[in-house]
Amino acid sequence: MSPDLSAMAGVDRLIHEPARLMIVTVLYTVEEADFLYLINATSLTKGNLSTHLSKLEEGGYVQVEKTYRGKIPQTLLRLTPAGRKAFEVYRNNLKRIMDTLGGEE
Amino acid sequence: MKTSLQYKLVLRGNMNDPLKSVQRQTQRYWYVDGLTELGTGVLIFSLGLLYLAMGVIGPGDVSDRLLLFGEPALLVAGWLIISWGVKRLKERITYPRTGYIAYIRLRGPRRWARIFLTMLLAAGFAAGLTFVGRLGGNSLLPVLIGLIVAGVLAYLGHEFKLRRFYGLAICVLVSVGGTFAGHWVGDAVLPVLVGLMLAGGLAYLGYDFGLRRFYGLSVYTLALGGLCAWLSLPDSFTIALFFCGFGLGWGGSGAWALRNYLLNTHPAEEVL
Repeated sequence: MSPDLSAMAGVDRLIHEPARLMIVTVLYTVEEADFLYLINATSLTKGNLSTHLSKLEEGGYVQVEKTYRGKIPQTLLRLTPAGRKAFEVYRNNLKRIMDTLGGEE
Repeated sequence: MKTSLQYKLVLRGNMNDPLKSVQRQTQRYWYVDGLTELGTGVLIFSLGLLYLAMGVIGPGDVSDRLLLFGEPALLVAGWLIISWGVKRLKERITYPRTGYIAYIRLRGPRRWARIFLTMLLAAGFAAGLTFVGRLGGNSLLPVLIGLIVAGVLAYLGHEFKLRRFYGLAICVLVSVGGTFAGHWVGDAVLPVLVGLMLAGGLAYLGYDFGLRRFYGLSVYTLALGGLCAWLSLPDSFTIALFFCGFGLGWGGSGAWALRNYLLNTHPAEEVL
């Protein structure tokens, strides 16, 4: 196996799951987003989104903040520095795998 | 057997593009309600009214002062007021319906450097317009505008490491070349060239953000340039007509987007 292809074994499984990958991709693009935006952007149900966010929070990738916008409660979500780093590593690993596969004929 | 290029295309098509698509969707969320376009339209239309006032007053000290002080004041104050207004409206209209996001912003010294650079550009823009205007070379104004826009785009491309901004800067420079050539063709075709330059930029933004209404705005801008050239009004009135029409185009596009947004979305029924 090519050394670059071994990156496949190191792919972060916490991010690799499609729904969580979508969440992390959105949060990587912004400083913070609220729960309502993530529901609209990912088309996940509230329950599903909550479950995935809890896993990402447990992994230290997402920070959850309960706050108020005026008198309305709001849940703000942002990637932690570890989450940002993990997404960048994941993306680079994926690119290396694709480049390696592309070079092997 | 697939070539490496085919593999790359297939794999990137399946894996990388969805990520990019999600990121683009997040980036274009700022434009989802049309409020930014409405605000920009108001600012451009106000600029057109300023040029109209200058045309009515005629050449002289008052007109020069309007160009020297009024234009940068309108640009800076208008931009600040509209930014504030758009933000407040988004808090009332957009965030309760489809959610809130905050884009990544520079902080600390880099933020102040950006503000200083913007003010410097506005001052340079006004000074350049006045200088070229005094030389009697109104036909060179679009060249100056194009060079400034290309410079800003190249800077943004460097700052944010976005290669597509370099591409956009090159497109603007090509248009500048065409406009410079237009200096010898005559003032009559200049609105067409400026329209072409802006239409190209709008079409590119439409493609880059995946916003189809920007294509419509691009065609409208092209037609507006043609109309201004065909009417052959005095210089100040041509500029005023172009800016007022351009502002109305932006405002109309924003109003259309806002109408569709309000029809298709509703405030969230429960607390999230």
